[in-house]
Amino acid sequence: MTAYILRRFLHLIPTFLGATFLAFLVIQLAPGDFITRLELDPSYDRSQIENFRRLFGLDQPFTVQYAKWLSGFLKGYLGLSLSYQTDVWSVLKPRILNSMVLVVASVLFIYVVSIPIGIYSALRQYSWGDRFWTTFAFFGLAVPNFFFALLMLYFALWLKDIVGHEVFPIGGMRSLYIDGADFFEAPKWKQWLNILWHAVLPVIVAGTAGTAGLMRVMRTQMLETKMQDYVRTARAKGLAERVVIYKHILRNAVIPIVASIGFLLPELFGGAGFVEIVMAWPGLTPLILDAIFSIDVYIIMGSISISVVLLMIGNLLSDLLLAWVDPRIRYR
Amino acid sequence: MKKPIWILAVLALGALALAQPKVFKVPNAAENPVFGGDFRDWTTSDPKTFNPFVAKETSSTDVIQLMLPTLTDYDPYTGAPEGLLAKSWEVKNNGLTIVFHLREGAKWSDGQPITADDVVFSAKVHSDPDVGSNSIKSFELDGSPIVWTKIDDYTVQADFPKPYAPALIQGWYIVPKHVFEKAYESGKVAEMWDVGTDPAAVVSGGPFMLDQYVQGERVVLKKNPNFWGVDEKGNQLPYLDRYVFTVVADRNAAMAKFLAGELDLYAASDADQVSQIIERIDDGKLDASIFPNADVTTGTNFIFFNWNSDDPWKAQLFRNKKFRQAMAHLMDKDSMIELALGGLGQPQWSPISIPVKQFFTDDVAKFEYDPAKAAELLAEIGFRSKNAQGVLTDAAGRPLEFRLSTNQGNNVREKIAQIFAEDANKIGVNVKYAPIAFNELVRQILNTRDFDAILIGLTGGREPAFGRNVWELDGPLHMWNYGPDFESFEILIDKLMKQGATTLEQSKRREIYVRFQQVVAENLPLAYTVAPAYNPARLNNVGGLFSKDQINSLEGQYPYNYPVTVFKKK
Amino acid sequence: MPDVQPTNDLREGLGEQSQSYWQKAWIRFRRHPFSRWAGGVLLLLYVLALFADFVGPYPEAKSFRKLQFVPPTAVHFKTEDGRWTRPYVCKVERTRNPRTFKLEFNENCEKKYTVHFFVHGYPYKFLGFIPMDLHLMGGPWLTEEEAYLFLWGTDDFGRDLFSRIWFGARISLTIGILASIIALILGITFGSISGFYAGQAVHIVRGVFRPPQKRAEEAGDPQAQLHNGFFSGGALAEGWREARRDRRLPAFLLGLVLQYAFWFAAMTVVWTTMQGFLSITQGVERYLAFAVFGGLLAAMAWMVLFGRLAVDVDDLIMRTTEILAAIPGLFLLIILSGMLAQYDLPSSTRFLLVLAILAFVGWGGLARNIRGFVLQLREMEYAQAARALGAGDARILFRHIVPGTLGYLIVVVSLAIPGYILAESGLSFLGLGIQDPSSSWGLLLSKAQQGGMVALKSRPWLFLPGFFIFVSILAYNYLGDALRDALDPRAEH
Repeated sequence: MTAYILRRFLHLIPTFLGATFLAFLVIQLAPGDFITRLELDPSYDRSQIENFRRLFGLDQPFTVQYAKWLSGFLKGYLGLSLSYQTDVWSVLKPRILNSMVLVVASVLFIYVVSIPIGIYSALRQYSWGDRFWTTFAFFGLAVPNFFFALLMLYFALWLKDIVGHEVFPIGGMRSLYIDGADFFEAPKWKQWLNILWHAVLPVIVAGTAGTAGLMRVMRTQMLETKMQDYVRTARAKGLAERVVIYKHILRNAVIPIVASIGFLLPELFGGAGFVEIVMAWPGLTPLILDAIFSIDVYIIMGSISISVVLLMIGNLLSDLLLAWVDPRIRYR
Repeated sequence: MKKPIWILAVLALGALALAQPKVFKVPNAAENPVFGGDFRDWTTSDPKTFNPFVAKETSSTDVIQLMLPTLTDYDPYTGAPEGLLAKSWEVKNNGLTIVFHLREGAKWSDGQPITADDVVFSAKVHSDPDVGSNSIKSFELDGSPIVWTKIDDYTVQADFPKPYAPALIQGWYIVPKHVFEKAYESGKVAEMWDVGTDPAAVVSGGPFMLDQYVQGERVVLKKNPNFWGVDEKGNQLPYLDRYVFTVVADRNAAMAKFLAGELDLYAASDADQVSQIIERIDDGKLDASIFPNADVTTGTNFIFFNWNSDDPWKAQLFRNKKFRQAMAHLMDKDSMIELALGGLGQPQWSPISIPVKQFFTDDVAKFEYDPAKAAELLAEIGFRSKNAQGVLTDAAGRPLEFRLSTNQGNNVREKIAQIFAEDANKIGVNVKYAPIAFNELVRQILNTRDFDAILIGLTGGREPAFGRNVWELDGPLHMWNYGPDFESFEILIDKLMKQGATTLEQSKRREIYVRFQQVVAENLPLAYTVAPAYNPARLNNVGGLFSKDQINSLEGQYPYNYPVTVFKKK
Repeated sequence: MPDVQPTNDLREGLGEQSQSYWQKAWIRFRRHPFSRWAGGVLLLLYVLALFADFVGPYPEAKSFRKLQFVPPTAVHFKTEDGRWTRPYVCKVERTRNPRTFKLEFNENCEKKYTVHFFVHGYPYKFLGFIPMDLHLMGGPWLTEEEAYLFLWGTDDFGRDLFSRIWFGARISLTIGILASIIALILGITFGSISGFYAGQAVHIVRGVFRPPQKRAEEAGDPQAQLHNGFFSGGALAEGWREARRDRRLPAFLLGLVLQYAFWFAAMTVVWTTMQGFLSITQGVERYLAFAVFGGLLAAMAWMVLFGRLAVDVDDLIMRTTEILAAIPGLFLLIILSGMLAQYDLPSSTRFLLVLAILAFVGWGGLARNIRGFVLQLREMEYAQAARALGAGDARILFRHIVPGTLGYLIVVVSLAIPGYILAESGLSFLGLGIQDPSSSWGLLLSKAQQGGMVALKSRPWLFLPGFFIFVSILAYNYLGDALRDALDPRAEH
C-alpha cells in the first residue's frame, strides 16, 4: 500500500511539470503581455514601456520565465503578481476562502438534494414522482449559470419591493453594517450569519447546476445494483423490502459516490464559477478572469498549479477511498 | 454628551496647530455642513496596491489620492492651477525654474511634519527607472530630467530643461520619507504598502486614512484628524467620518445598489439607466436626484487609417484627404449615440474633449452624416463605377475595400464600427469589419503595421500638452503615419503642439489649441465619432456636491477629487 | 471463409442476441416517459433552424437603426369593432420620452397590414446555394418597410429577434453535435490506439553508439561481434537491423529524423534557458540551477549518444490526457479563444475554431473510457478470431471493436451535447464566442444580460434565447437518459 502511494506520488511529478509547462506555454500564445495595455497611453515613452518590461522580467524568453517560476514554486513561493506587486498566495488566499463558503455550501446542497432524488427515481422508475424530481434536478443544469444568477438577483429585488425590506441581499458577500455598526465590529456569529444569508441565492444557483450529474450517477448505480444476483437472493430469502433496499442495494450503490469525494478536493479551491461574477461574490473566479484578461501570468499560474496538485491528490484520495469502502479492490 | 465638546476641542487644537491650512471652497455656501457620517461610493475593481510607486490603474490611485498629497492640481471652479500641499509658488528664469512653498504645519497622520524632504524624496523615487513608477513621465521632458531640489524645510525648487506650460500641475503623490526611505535604500520599495499591509501602517497625508481593506469587497477609509485643510469658516475638514468604497465589478449591479439606496453617488451610463433611476424617484422609492446629459465624458473614439500600408495603392488612398472626409461623411453619429451609447451622448469632431472648456472649440469643420456627399467625394477621387458585387471601383477597376478592426469586448466600439461598416457598404465601400483582441490591436498599431483601419480610443485629459506622443511627428503614438513622408498639415500640428507645450500665457495657448483642433478636424488624421454623456445621480441626503450647472465630467460631482466638502445631511 | 463479412461477424460474435438487442433497446427507449417528447422537440428545433431563412421574415443581419428594443409586434385577429378578421399588424413608432427617458411605442392602426403566409420577401439562398425568396409570413409592406413584423421584438441593433433566434439555432444546435463529433474522433482515435497498442514500446530515442557499460556477449554468440562494435552495438544500429528485417526502413528513417530534430530542439531550449536563468539569479539558487540544468543536458546528451528510451504508446497518450485534464478547462477555453481574436477571421471560421477548441478540451475523458473498452474488447473472442483470420489492426479496430462500443458512444454524445451548448453560452458571456452580426443563442442571451436588470424588466423578450437554451438542453438530457436506459446492456431485460 505504501509503495503504491509512493509510486503514485512519483507519477505526479511529470504530470505536474507537463501541465504547468503547457499552461505557461498557452499563456504565452495569447497576444501581448501585462504591459501591452500601457502602450496606448499617450503619456508613456517607448523607453519607459521597455523599462516596465525589464522590471517585470517580461523581456526574458518564456522558458526562462517558466524556470524562474518553477524554482520559486519549489521553494514554496507562487510568484509575484504583476498587478498587485505582492506574492500571489496572499492575493489568492482570501479569494479561495470566500469561494470555499459557496463551494462547500453548494456541495452540501448537491448531495442533500440529488442523492434522495436519485434513489427515489431509481426505485420508482418512470413514475410521475420520478418525472417531477428528475425535471427538478435537470432544471439547474439546463439554465446557463450566469443567466440564472441574474434571474435570482432580479428575484431578490422584486421580493424587496414587495415585502418592503431585504429578504435576500442583492449581491455581495457581507453587509456594510450589522445592526447599525460596522460589519467587523459585530460578534463573530453574527458575521457568519450575515455571510450565510448572502450565500443563499448564489448557493442555489451553483448548487442546482450540479444536482443533475450526481442524481444521474446515483440513479444508475441504484438501477444497476437492483439487478445484481445478491439482491435477488436477498429477496428470495424473504427479507423485508426495506431491508433489501437499505442493506443490500443502497449500501452498495453508494460506494462510488463515497469514493468520488476525493474529486471534490480541487473543486473546493477552484471557485464557484460565473455566479460569483454576476452576484458580486468576491471569490476566485472574478480574480482569475481578471488575471487572464490582463495576463497577470503568476496569478494564473498560481491558481493552476494549486488546482493541478489538488486534482492529483484528490484522484489518489478517491482511489484509496474506493479501496477502503470496497473490499474487492486492492492496490499493490 | 461629552463627545461633541471633546471633538470641538481637538478641532480647535488642530486648527491652531495648522499655521497655514488650505481653504477648500464648498460648492454651495448656503448649505450648513454637518460633521460625521459615512460616504458610500463604489469602484469596479479593488485597489491592487496602496503604494503610489507601484499603482498602475485608477482602481488603485482612486484610493491613494485620498491619502497622499500632491503639490498642486487644477482649481475645480476655474481650471487654473491651484496649490494643495504647495501654498504658493514663484516662476523664475522665464519659466525654467519654479519654486514651491509648502504649507508649514502640515502633518502626516502619524504626527510627523510634511516637509521638503518628503517632496524631494518622493520625486527621487518616482523618477528612478528601477522603481517603475507610473509617474516617471512627470520627471522627464523630451528625454531630459526635471530636477527637484530642497531649498529649506518648506521650500522646493524644480528646474525644467525648457519652459513647460503644464509645469504648475504637479500631480504625483508625495509619500512620507520616514516610512519609505529604508525600503527604498534596500531596493524593496515595491514591497511597501501592498494589499496585505496592516491598514494602520499606511500613513496618510490627505483627508482620509486607511481603516480596513477586504479584498474584492470594500475599502474603508476614515477621517485623518491631521489633515491640513479647512473650509471657509475655518472648520477642520473633512466633514465625513468614513469613506466606504464597495467593489462592484458589474455596472448593472452597482446601479441596483444605488436604486436600493446603498450607494450615495452613481453616474448612469445610458438612457436606460437614467430612465430606471427617474422611475424609481417618481415612484417615491428613492430620494435622489439625477442630471441626465449634464456633460460628456472625456474618453474619445476615433477611426484612423494606416498611411504606411504595405500596399502602395492603399497607402495613397488613405493619405488622400478627400477619402478621409468621405469616410467622415459616412459616420451616422445620431445612430451611434442611439445604438452604441444607449441614447445619450454628443458627436465629437476634434481631438480636445468637450468638457475641457479652456481649450475646446466648436468652431471646426464638421463632416456631417451624408452618404450622398461621401459618394460624391469618392467619385472626385476616381471611384465612379461599381463592379458586379456593387463595390465602387477606380479607373483601373480596383474595388474600394479595406478592413476595419476594433478591440473585441468593447461594446460601444463594436457597435460604432458596425454602424459605420453598414453605411459604407450601402454606398459601395466594402468595409470588412472584424473585432480583434486588444493586445493584438496594439501590436498591429505599434509593431507590425499590417492593418487598414482601426477604431480605438484614448483616454482624454484636461491638458492637451499630454497628447504630445500622439501628435508630434516622432511621437510613439503618431499611429496613422510613422513617416518618413509627412503631409504639411502634420508638420503644422507638430509645430502647434510644441508651441502649446511651451507657451505659458493662457490666452495664447488657447489660440494655439483652437488652431490645432481646426487643423485636425479639417484633415482628419483621426476621424472622431461620438462621446458618451455624463449623467450623474445622487441621494438627496448628500450635501457639499456641485449644483446642476457646476457639474462637469472632469471633476465629477464634488470638487477637489476627494470628498472633503461632502457631508451627509441629518 | 476467405473474406470476413463485417456485418455478419458482429452478429456471429454476439450470437442471435444482437438483433434483439437493438429491438429491445427501441422498446426500452420508448418506455422512457420523456423520450418521445424530447425527440419531438429537438426535431422541431432542428427543422426550424434548417428553415430559418424561410421561417424568419428578416435576414439575419437586417437592422433597423431607429427601431432598437421594439417590443413584440402585436398581431391582431379582431378589428376594432370586435369582428374576427385575417391577422394584421399596425405600424409602431418609437420615441424617447424627454423627461423620463423611457422608450415609448405607439401603435398606429390607421392602416392595417395583413399578414400573409407563404409570401415572397427578402431573397436568400436556401442551404447556401438555392436562391429563394419564399417566407412563412410577411407581405409586400414588410419588404417595403412600411410596417414591421417583429414577433419577438428587436434587439440592441434593431434586428428582428424572431429571425435571429432561428439563425442562432443553427449555430447553437450544431455546435454541440460537431464538437462532440470532433471530440469523439479524437477520443476514439487516441483511446483505441492507446488501448489497442497497450504494452507495445515505441522508441523516442536511440543512442548512436554502444553504451560503454555494455559488456561483450558470450563467446558462443555469433552476433557478439556485431553487438560489441562501437557503432554497430548501439541502439540505433540495432533499430536499423530490425527495420531492415521487417522491411519498414522509410518509416524508421522518418522516425529517426523526427527524433533527432526533437532532441536537438529540446537541448537548444534547455541550453538557452540555462543561460537566461543563470543571468538573472544569484547565490545558492544559481548553483542549484546550474547543477539541475547541467544534469539535464548531460542526461540528454547521454541519451542521444549511448542511451535508449522507449515508451509505451498507451502510457504516452494516457499521460497526455492526464495533463490536459489537470489544466482547468475554463482557463484553456478562455486563453485559446482569446488567441483566436488576434486574427480577423470571418465569423464562420471562428465558429469552427471555437468548436474545435471545445472538442480539444473535451476529448481526454472520452479517450480514457474508450481505452478501457478496447482493452476489454480486444481480449474478446470475436476480436481474437478476426485476428486469427488475418485481419489488420485498423480493420479489427474499426470493424469490430468500435461497433462494440457504439451504444456507449451514442449515450456519451447525447449527454455531451448539452454541455457544449452551455459552454458556447459561457464563452459568449465572456465575449469570446460568436461575434455580432452573426447570431447564436449564447450570444443573444449574453447581450441581453449586459443590460442587466433594466433589460430584464423593460425588455424581457430579449431573454427568450435563454428559454431555448433551457428547452434544448433539457430535451437532450432526457434523450440521453432514455438512450442510456435503452442501450445499457446491463439494464433490465
